[in-house]
Amino acid sequence: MNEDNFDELRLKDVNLREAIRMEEMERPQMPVDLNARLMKRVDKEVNHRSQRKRIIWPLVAAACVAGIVAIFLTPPRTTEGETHGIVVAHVEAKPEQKPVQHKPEAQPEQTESQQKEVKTDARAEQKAKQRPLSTPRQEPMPNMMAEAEPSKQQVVDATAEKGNSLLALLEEKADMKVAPEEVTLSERDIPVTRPENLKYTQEEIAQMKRQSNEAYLKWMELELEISKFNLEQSAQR
Amino acid sequence: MTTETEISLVEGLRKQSPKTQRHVLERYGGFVFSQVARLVPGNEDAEEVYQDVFVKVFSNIENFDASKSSFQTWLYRIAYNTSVSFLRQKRQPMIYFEDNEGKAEAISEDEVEATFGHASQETVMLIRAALKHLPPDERAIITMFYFDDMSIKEIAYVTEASSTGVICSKLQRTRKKLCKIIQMLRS
Repeated sequence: MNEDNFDELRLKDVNLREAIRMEEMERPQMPVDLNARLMKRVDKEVNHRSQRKRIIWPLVAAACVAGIVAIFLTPPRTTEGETHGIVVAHVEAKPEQKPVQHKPEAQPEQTESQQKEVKTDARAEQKAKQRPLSTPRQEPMPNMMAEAEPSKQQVVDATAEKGNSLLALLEEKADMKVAPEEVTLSERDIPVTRPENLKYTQEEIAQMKRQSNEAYLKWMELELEISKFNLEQSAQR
Repeated sequence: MTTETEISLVEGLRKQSPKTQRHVLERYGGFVFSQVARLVPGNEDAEEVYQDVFVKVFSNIENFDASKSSFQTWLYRIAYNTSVSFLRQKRQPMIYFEDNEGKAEAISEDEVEATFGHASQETVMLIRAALKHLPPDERAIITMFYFDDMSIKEIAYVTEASSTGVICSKLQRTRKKLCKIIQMLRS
């Protein structure tokens, strides 16, 4: 069935039309105050929305102002001074690395000697502990023990002394090596970073002076022309 | 499609003018309420849905496209959709005639025409009784077609049907269903 056929049906179905019409007529009518209630509801919602807007807008505006102020007040990150600082820091860091490199060389020796000392001390302590236990048994041969024990102690003491003296020597050498290299480079020592450190030749200096003189003369000529022009203008008036 | 008065009303609604809002309510309120009352049983529920419809209309007036439909059809569409979604939310138990066995489909077109065509008070009464056994969406479609004199296209727009053919087949099926209910009532 087409749409046109349905339009025909609309006219043909008299009973159906009449029945639906009667049904619709009997349907409860809209309350009179319904529109007034609806308008009250709509007004309430509009007020609620406007209140929300009133609350939100100042906050949004304040946030925007704060953001703009923050953007303008914060100093820029990359300035000339900072870049110089970075360059200097890099340059200065290099010579300082040398003493740092020396120290680890000295430290293992120290640790080895310390370890030796610790070992010798531990051995001496152990032996000292063992002595009271063993002495009653070795009483019949005191001369032998007396000869043996002092020799061991002497060896230990000698090695400890040697270790200490070696340590002291190494430290002195390290100090001697580091001392001349500890001189740090300042900003002025780097010729590239500052333009005043650049050296000009006599010819260049002479040329610069010539150029400045020429520029000064030109400026004077211009000033004269301007004053002449002004005089002419005032004379014409 | 959209008349000059409708255009001025829409412009007024877009400006959120209370005067225009009152005018729209006076002009279309009755139609919208009857549309809602067809679908939503109970006066209180119908009033609630009616208010929701106009709140939606006033707040979504920017979405109205005059090239697609008239303002009145757009209003009907919102009323229909709000009523249907209200019924879905409420999930009230309703008993309607369902043609599960396909007996209504077997009725011939001549038989249907004979039932609805020849004017008879008794048949009108039977049809009125039969209308109560139809589900709300079918009742709404048949009322839009026979009472509101809406075209198939407009009904398709209001019910958000995919095509006019869907509405045509629905109308045909509903007519046959009504005929079947009348036969059952007669027997």
